[in-house]
Amino acid sequence: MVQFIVRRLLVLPVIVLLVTLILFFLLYQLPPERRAEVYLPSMRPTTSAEERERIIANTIEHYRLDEPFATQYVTWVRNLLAGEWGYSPSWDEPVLQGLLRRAPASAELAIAATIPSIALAITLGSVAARYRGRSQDQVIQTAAFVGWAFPSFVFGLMLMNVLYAWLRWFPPGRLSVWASPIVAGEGFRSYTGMVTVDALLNGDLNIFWDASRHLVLPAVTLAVAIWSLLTRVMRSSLLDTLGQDYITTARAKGVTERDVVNVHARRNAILPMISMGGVIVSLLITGVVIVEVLFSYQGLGAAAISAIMNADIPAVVGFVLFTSLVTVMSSLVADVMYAFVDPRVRLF
Amino acid sequence: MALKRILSNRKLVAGSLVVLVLAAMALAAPLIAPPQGDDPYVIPRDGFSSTPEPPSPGHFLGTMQGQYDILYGLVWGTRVAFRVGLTITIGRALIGVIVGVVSGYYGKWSDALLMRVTDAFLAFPIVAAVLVMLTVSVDYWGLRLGEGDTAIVWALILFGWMQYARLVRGNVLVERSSEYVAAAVAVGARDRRIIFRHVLPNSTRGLFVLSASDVGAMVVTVAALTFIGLTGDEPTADWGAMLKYTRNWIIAAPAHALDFWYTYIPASVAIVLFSIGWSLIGDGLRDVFDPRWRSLRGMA
Repeated sequence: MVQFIVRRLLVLPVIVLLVTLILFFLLYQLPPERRAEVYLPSMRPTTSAEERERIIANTIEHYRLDEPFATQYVTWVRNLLAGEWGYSPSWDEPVLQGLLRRAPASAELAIAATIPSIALAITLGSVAARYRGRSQDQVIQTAAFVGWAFPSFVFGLMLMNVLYAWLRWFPPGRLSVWASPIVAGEGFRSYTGMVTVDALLNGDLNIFWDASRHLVLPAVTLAVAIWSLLTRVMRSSLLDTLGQDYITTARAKGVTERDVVNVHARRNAILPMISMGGVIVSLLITGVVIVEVLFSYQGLGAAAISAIMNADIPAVVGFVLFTSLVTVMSSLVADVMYAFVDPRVRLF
Repeated sequence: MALKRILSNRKLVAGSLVVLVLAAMALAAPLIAPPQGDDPYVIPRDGFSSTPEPPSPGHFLGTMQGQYDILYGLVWGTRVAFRVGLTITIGRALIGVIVGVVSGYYGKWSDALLMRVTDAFLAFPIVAAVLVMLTVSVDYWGLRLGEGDTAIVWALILFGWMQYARLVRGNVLVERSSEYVAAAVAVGARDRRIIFRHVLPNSTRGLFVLSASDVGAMVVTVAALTFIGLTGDEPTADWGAMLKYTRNWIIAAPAHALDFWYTYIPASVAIVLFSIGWSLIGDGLRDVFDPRWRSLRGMA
């Protein structure tokens, strides 16, 4: 077990090295003047245009941006490790600070979409497998197929047209106009950066209700694709498990079909879902960006898109690096969890 | 036998029909909606009024804000969809096959290295890859933001071949250890001959299933990225661009919220049909050619 985790941890630096190399190789294609922005110190530039040009020229010289690839790469990584991710002109704050400040809002959205999806995928996937070929299975399979093939953002547009524009049930954005000052104000302590959680911790149910109402449409839009994918995985994995010998033994002992699925088979059938952790996180990140822009939800994704619109290279590079590191870390966590629950993996 | 299996698979038949109808629409674009300028992907406009007009005899599907004809955009957008979907998928598959064959056939350090590189590429979420490519593409900075389409296609190819590589590598590993390859080695066949004559033709298992569903998925992805603003502001004949252009009418005031349905429903339906059509083909191909799924179906 420990050996497996250690071996898995040893691959991590290799992957991170390759990720940064790929990213830097692409950035290297830009002229030095543009790349220099990434190296500017993490503080607010208070200078004029000429002054800025001079600083950029200095930066090119200081970081040897006209030197060979290897030298530049090492300097860049050293800066990153020191927490110097550059200054974002469009966010008007240091990149790393901007990323960390906005990440909780996006995480809140992703979690709100994922947890119900997982629960529903496990239940409905089990039902589909248990009643394979019958009407329950056909309904669930069709729903999962449509949910996967139906473009999420088109679905989101329709939700917005009917449930927001027409019926005014669920507003876009993150908070109502009256609620934002309260959350930003003195009396409201921010523990996690996720408004719904913070509202509960502050004991403010009005804010909680308002934030939840704003979360519904983006979370549902995101959840459909995740649910469909996981339901299909769960169904086929449970079907595999139900064909195993130990299930036949359980049935022969006279265990009811319900207990066979709920007690004996389901736990093992969940394993393949865990191994998909990295893929899910990667899908979620792209989904969150699109959904945030669609519903004007102020999180990391919407900020990244506004950064690229403003040709803000430091912020974009920071976002790319941040999201790819998150993806790498989540597949690592998924692998370790898998090894933890499934002893067979540890043997390899 | 195979043909009979294909024709008896409802998903495959339904998906193929949808895709064929869309393909016919793409091919017949100049007949259905004759272009009025030099560039057929510029939607002709009929006046400058900013309020969309509902369907009428002159405009069968109505017009968008600025009196751009919706039917025209829809029809020529079909060409864009096929071009984008097929280009990205073929590009991904090509890179994936090359990496997979080299990795699986030569093995050892090249396999170890290529598989770690594959892992590294998998670390980039699609949107991150697209943002990097937009940032570094020279056209992008030289021209307006609207020239992002090419960069998006490149991003989806260069950061999207990994599933293909893993699939092909797995297939090649199986074939390489088979007896007919050992026999080919024994009679002194060169690597190149073994790869192209023996291993590669037998390593396409699953390749077409993946490709078929990718064509639809890529068109959806590009449309979504276009919609959130990563390409130009003009309503070109592109489904994503049309949806973006008409976004404000989707969230009109409550009393009129549903009045402008015709501005976004046609392009939405087109994207949905394209996506579901290709997904049906992908699922159907899997049912037909993957014996494991076939037996499951038979048991059902």
